[in-house]
Amino acid sequence: MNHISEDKILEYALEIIDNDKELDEIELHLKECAECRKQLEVIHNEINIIGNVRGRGQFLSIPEVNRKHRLAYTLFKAAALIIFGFSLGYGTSNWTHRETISILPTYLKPSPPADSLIGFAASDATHIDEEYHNLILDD
Amino acid sequence: MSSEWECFRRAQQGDNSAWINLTKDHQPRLLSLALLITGSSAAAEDIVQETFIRAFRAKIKNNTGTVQGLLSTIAYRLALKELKRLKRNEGFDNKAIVDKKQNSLADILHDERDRLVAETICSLDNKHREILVLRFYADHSYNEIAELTKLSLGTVKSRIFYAVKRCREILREKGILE
Repeated sequence: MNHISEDKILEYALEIIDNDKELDEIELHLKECAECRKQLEVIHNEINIIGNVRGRGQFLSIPEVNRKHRLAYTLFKAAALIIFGFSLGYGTSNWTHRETISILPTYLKPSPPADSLIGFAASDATHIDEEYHNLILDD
Repeated sequence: MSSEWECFRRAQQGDNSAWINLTKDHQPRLLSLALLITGSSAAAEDIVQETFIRAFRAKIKNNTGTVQGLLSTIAYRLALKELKRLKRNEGFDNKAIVDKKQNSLADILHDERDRLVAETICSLDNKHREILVLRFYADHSYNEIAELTKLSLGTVKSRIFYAVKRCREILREKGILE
């Protein structure tokens, strides 16, 4: 009986054979040949050793990032909402028609002086008679 | 929603027991993945931490894949980025890189056999090591690997074959395999 080559058994163990006919032939042979089955078992064990290196690191504590991230995201959403609201308000304020309001200047008419003051000029209030003037200087 | 995604979602919401289950299930494999790609234990631990942080930030809308797939894809991308950075910084001093890698492996891999297997995988060239790690440590299918690495399916299959074959040869020389 011709045995299956070691390379072919390795291909079979790695499940990389595409050809269905070839695959059927190998499986048929394996059913009948104890030696090739043994070889397949050895290769499976070797693959298991190669693919099972286990690293032992320090235990990782649960990350806090998610909560922080959510808080940041909430704050960002709130800020975005405020900016959006402000922009929307500002934008729509330009769409509505506004009545033009014109403010005309008003001129106040000066009121006439009281009757008792008619006949006096501004300088009369500061005028000092000569006799009093001397008194002031003597003091 | 599957139970693992449910566990992931509860961990995202701060459930400590869900977090413990998640790290217990995925941390060792992710650590190996990062270590085997970068060859640095310090970088590997940082990558695993960063992987969990990024996964927790992620908004998972379509959870048709597996949690393992999500985490290992993130870890793989981070590890590749870190590998580029390490290579840039270390220059061309190959002996220093090998010595450093061996010390690094011993930091995380306490089991002698694991350390020798890891050394063997690290000794493969990048293109073969990458495929092997994605297949066995990220648990991706060949189609997923082809998509992730932008290689043809045939190339992925021939690389995994060569990578495993070469590892078996080296491990036999080292006396790990019979």
